[in-house]
Amino acid sequence: MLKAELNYSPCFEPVQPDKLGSFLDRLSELATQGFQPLAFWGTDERLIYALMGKTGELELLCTPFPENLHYPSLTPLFPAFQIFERELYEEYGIVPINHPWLKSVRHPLGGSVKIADYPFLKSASKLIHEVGVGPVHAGVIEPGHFRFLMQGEIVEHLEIQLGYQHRNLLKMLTTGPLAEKMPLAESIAGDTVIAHGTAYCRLVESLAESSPQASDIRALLLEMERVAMHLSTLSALAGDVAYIMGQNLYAALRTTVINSTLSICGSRFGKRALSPGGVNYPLNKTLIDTLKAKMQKCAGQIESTSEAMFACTSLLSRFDDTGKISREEALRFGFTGISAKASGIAVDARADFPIWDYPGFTVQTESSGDVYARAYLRYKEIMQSLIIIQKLLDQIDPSAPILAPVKELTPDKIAISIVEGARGRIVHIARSKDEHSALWYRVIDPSLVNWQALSMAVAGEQVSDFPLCNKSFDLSYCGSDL
Amino acid sequence: MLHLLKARLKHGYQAIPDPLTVGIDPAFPGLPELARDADLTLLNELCPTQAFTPQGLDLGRCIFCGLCSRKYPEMITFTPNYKMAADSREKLIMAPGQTALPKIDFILPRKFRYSFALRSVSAAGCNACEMELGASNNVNFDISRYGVETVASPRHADGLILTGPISRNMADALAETWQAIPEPKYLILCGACALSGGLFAESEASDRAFLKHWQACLYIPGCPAHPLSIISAIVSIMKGS
Amino acid sequence: MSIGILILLIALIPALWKRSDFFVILWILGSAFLAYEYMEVLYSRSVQDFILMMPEPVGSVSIALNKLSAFFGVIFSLGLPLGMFYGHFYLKEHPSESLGSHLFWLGVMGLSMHCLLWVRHSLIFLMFWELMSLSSFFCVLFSKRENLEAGLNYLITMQLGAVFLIAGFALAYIQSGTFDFSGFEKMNSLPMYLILIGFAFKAGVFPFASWLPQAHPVAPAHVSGIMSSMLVKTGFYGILLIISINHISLLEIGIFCLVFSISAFWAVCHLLNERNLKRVLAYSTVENVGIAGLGVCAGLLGLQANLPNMAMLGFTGAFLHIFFHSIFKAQLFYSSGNILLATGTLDIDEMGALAKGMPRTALMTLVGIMAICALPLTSGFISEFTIFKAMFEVPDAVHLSQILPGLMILGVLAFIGALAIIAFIRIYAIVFLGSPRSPAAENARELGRGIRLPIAVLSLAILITGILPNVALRFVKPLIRWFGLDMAYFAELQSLMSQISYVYLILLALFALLYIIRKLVVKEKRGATWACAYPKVRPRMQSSSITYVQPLAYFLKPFMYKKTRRLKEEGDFTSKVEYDEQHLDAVWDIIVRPLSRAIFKFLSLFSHIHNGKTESYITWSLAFLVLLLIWVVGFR
Repeated sequence: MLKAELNYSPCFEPVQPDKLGSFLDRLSELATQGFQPLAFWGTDERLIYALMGKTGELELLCTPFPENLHYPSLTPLFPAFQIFERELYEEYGIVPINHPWLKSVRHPLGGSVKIADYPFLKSASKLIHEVGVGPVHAGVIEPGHFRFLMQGEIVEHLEIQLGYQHRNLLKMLTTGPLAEKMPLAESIAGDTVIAHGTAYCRLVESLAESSPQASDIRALLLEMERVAMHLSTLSALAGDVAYIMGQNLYAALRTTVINSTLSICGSRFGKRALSPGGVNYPLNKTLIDTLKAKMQKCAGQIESTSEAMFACTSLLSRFDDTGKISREEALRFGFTGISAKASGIAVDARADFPIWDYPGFTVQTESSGDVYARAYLRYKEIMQSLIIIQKLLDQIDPSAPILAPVKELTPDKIAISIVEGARGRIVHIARSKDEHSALWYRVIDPSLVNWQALSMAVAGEQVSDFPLCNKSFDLSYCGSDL
Repeated sequence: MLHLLKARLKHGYQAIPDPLTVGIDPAFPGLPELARDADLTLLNELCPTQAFTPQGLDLGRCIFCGLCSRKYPEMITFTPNYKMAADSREKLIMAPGQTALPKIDFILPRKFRYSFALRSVSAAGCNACEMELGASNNVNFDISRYGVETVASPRHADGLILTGPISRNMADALAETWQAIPEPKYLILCGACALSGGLFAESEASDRAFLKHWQACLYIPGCPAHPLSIISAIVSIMKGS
Repeated sequence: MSIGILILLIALIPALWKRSDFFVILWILGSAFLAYEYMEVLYSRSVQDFILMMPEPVGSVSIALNKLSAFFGVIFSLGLPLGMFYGHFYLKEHPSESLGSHLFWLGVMGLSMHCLLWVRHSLIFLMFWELMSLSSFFCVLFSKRENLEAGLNYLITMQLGAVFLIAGFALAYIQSGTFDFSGFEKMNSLPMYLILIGFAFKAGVFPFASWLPQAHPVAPAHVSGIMSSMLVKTGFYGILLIISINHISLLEIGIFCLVFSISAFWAVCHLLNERNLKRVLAYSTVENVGIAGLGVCAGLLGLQANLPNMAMLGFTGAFLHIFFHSIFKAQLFYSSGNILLATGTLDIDEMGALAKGMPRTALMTLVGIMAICALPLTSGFISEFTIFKAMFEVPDAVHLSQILPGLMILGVLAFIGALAIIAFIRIYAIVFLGSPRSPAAENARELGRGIRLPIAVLSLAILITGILPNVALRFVKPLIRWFGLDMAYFAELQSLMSQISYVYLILLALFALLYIIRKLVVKEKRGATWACAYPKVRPRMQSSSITYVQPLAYFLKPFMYKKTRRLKEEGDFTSKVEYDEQHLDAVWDIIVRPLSRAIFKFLSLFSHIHNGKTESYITWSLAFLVLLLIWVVGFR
């Protein structure tokens, strides 16, 4: 059992592999104790790893590949494992017996199923028709295919097929020196640059046993990214129900926020800001003052816009009771981020595995689990983040060093780094091979787990509510396709 | 209703009056300038995408990470000039001492002067270029004032704007979308990934055969391309620069 | 009597020899003679009269045609031979062992329909009426055993209707002392209502119309076509016969309005949801009878309110609609027959893309559907337009009690018109457009020329009467005069119709010109349908039949009863999704069926009487005799 420490991502000797039986028993035991699988994956060492986590507690387990590449699936009892077991099946051909939904996830090179041959669920009834959307969608968004089984206008079942965005990113992270993969880590998901970047930096730093500088600037950028992403989602949600004023005001506010990010580092998405060891660009006094004033003004504007929007009855009638995810479902499937918090589960890496001592931080939640809850929770998180931003700006010392040298990696260590991105908990895990490179590197974007939530939320709704539900989760395609 | 009016009043006028001439935050890394004596091999060793060719810096590969300019500020600086685009891949190379990109010669036929509909395809883009493309049409940048719109169906499109390095899984869909656009059609590449594959040029999961068959008419560098870059580039081929 | 009828009688002989070709030829010949005779009556001679003396209690039988029966006679003598002609080819494609008896009953059915129009004596009328019901019952049965339930249901419903007729006729006899139709004039309300209800059974008026959607789908296409377009009209003939010689009070007009409105609305609600192609058409017959009935109501209201223009327009619209409906409904039923032969199914959820394999049938069906939706260029538009025009006169009436029913008709007509358009767009889109939903639909090919000919003729008739409506107006003109309606206004209508024709012709010419220019100028290039760049598009990725109406059905829920069966495995990972729904006919499934079951149950209580023992039968007989004795003695 590893205790998470403030401002430090754990780094430790590789764990000893258990026997398959005791590995599975321990996983079940932890799952019944309320642990969630943060990651579960196979590696080229022919080992299956499992990282289980609960507030402030982590446990890493490992077992060799089963002899005949078969083992009893964990999914029927603990559905949170479903996508991980599918990954394991796709990458190493290990069959979880009795997995109810054993289909490919990303269709990587050399996979057995071509992306066009994905076996969708079909219905025998003539009256059930299908709606297939994607990979090229109507808007300017990433590719993915959604297949609906429809009873008239009502969605009976939604199956989401991703993999179009697969870039072989995990493999690329392990080829060449790990410390030089900053641009790649920033491209895991271009809208979650800071969260993934911070997770990567912290991982490298802990593998190199170096402590970074300017973690307050990182925290600042992370909160600004969260505000920007939530604003973008709120803008799109307003647009989806033709609440044009909200759409435009939130979009303009997002521009203000990301332009502030640009004034710090030069990129509206925070690319080029981070580096293992700290950050690349300092904040001077003038910039801090400008930012403070801008964010202050922003807060007022966001408040008035949201007050108007969440009082609009025609909008609420679309948001209320649409796309519900119950607390029980969210727990069982191990959803994270907004998807879990909107269903009343107080899970947030800023509280569970903090990277900065957020003073007086309480996890914001909503209880109804519908589109309204996810939208309103975003508003609440924005306001919370803006307060944190003000605190950070008060605290940041313009004269402090921003970049510490990073030593070479310690060979054969495993490090874990967890960051709360705008979409939820981001987990990076790697094992160092030698002083430079990683043996394997694993990235778990919250979207990977949360796509299931969208599928469940849409069932029983009218298909016209799908865009709304989809936006309310606002999941990343490339983040889960990698 | 009153809430809404209050919110609206608090916002004021948000649109950029003229996105073609507006100034930008000096922190923005735009068009790079290489010193005449810049050591391109040295710089290239540092570069994550090997963007430095013997002729100069290939903006098609550059991801504007700033690694070079932070380490060798005397050799290379990124000016806040967002007007970077070219009508051929070769014109994107900034030689040492060069201060501007060559003029864009390509101009769309007259009928596209005031109306140009684009179908966007994201082929494994990381969602940064996609969001910037979306932002080009938001209340601030508002590219539609020039008659440029992104349409839902390729059947309604005059051109395709591609983002992302083109993953193998997305290659067929991209080709099919291109096929579905009626003639005459124009291909625009947006962002380092689309231009050269960017960070993913060497990835096994990339399949860039599509670009061997089809010639783009406009290349917009950036990682991601800034909305102002996108707007000025597209407007320049519509109306001439 | 008449050479035509004689030839039709002779036609029964080749029918028994299974020679459908001779049968059809004789029918065409006989119908030609009959048509001539009807036309003569319609345009020149006022009445053709024979008196046939029969032994009591029948007495003297008047065999006569008037303008009304001649009008229906023309429709029958044009429509029936075409139906027989279609039937000849249909039966070739769909061979049956009992061809002889089928042709025989077909001939008898047609004959009795004609004879009905000639007799003006209630007993003989009833005889032919029964003969018509019985023969059509045998026609419906054809050779399939599974048709038996629907067929029997049809027969029983018809008998029930006949009971009303008999009761009404009997009361009318008691009142007037004669079996002749002249005795129906100015009759009491009770016999009139009974007779009207009896005819309503045949005409397919709610709530007596449930037999139509049951019987029509199972009958062979030519039979359902004939029944739906002509046989049903005999009921309407009866209603018009009664109305034309009796005074109808305002209250009664109001009741008629209500009945026909409900009838049309009820039908269109079912039509929206129906998935059996022929049943859709059957419901649409009920709807169109309702529309024609509303036209009659408009006419009656016009007479009542002393608005001669409205009265003329109402009756003209009704007659036109009866005439046109017999054309386009027959056309659509024959088309559905071709579709059934080509695909082997009537379930629209197994069709799709038939326009690719059967382009001519698709085009012709489109014409029929345009007519049934009352779209311009087709005949359906002309008749409904006339009825609408009648309704727009209603605000001139003096009393609110006259205006209100008129406005109600107007609203109902507009509403069901819109619903019918939705329903038939759905049918056309699912059956002919998109991609095939089953291998049968994919392999469906155009049938032979012969079987398409009657449909082509009818399509042409739809377009000619639609574009040049004065042709049809001339046909109803004698009838309007006979009804004593205002001929000056009729002339006005005629000139309006010729204006419509001019506009059509100009528009058609312009359209043709534009089409030619487009063909010359535009280079057309076709590509595959844009499907979000997904390579494996399946036919299932198109709306099923329930999708088209589901949002609308939400608002019409109180009028649509459905049974659904939804099977979705509960649990985290669905492995099975199934759904089925059945739309119930409110009258049939909620009232008639349970009632008949209850009666059956009650009767089965006595089944032990039927125990097969001779001694108990003797006991029942003795008991009956004793009871009889007591009754007789008791009366003394």
